[in-house]
Order: sequence, then C-alpha cells, then structure tokens
Amino acid sequence: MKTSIDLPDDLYRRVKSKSALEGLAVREVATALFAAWVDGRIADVPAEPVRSGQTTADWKYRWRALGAAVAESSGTEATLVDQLRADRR
Amino acid sequence: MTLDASVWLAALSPAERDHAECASLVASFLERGAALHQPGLFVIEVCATIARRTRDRALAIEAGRATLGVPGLVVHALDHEMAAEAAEIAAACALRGADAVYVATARRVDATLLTLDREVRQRAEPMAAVRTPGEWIGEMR
Repeated sequence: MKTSIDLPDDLYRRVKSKSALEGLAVREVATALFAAWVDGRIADVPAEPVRSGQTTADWKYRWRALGAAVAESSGTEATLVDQLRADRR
Repeated sequence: MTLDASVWLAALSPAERDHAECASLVASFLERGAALHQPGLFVIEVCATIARRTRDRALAIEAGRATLGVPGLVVHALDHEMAAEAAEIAAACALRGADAVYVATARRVDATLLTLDREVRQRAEPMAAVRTPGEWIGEMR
C-alpha cells in the first residue's frame, strides 16, 4: 500500500544520501527498518525524537544554558540534589 | 544505562558538588549515542526539584522539556508490570518508592543504574547493577 509521512528536511536529506551511497531506494530502507522494528530486531524507538534540526550539540548547549540559569536562581542554602533527597524522604 | 535524577540534577547545575563528574558522564553518553532508559518519574523529579528550589515556574518547565528531549531517551512507563516489579524490589531491599522505580527500570533492560545515593548503591546491588558516577568512571578507565 501507499502511505505518506512527514519527515524533518534535514533527516530526509541524510536518509536519501545514505541510501544512495548504499545503492538502495528510500522505500527499501524504510520497509526494511519498519519490518525490523515490528519484528523486535531493533531497539526501542526513543520516546521523543530529536526535534527537527536539533542535534546533540544543540541539546547540550540548551542544557548548559538552563544549568547556569538554575544555579543563579537556586540560592546557596541547599543544592538541587539535597532538595531531591529531602523530597524523597 | 539508567541515570537517577540525582545524577541529572548534578549534571545540570554548576553549583552542585558532583557537577563536573556527572556532566562529563552525561556528555559522554550523548556523544556515544547511548540509549538512556529512564522511568517517566525522572522528568517529574527534575522539574519538581527545580520548581521547589528556585520557585521559578518557567525554569522548571524548560527543564521538563529539556529532559524529554534528551537524545537517546527511552521512557519506561510505570505500568502494572513495572509497578509490581518496583514494589517487589522496594520490599526486598527496603528502598524508598522512587528509588525502587529506577532500579526496576534498569533491571527491566539489564542496564546499569548510576546514582549519587549511597544507600541505593548498597541495598539494590542484588537486584541490578548499581554504581556511583565515580565508580563507573573508574571502571571505564
């Protein structure tokens, strides 16, 4: 059957390049991956795919900026880990 | 790999005692494209801890979104089966509820749990591989 799915542009470009290098059609790659996943031959799919255009480097940059903002707003009485331990008691 | 919320929080803020060690570990897992098997509880704990420590709703929400966007994240639901397994672990090891959920998650996928909590490190060992970040780094050298 025919179906259509929306993919991030950057991801589709990478899939197309790799498929071409390996002499495969994108359709063949997609079919093989779907079959492997349905049969349990590949690992779990991440719960939330990396957003379009977001790389690991982007995520780390965002995480560091968040950490700096949290450190600035946390005060000095206790650390986040202390707070977590207290909340779990 | 499963990381306790304590490791994520220490990795997040440069003001934390174990920040350098935990931040370096998280970075190395991401660079290697490792699957990070986490209970959904970890998103809530990171978000709640930041909200309670900073009283800044926007920061807490941003932290929740960042944790959900961790590359390689696999979230494990606290479903009927996982709840039963976590309860069994809590009873057998005399662990706190939240700690038992992390141990059950790691055990389900045969992952190592990294935690800054010495009590969990000692008590949960018969149920799953548990290490502190320092021990893990030492073993990887």
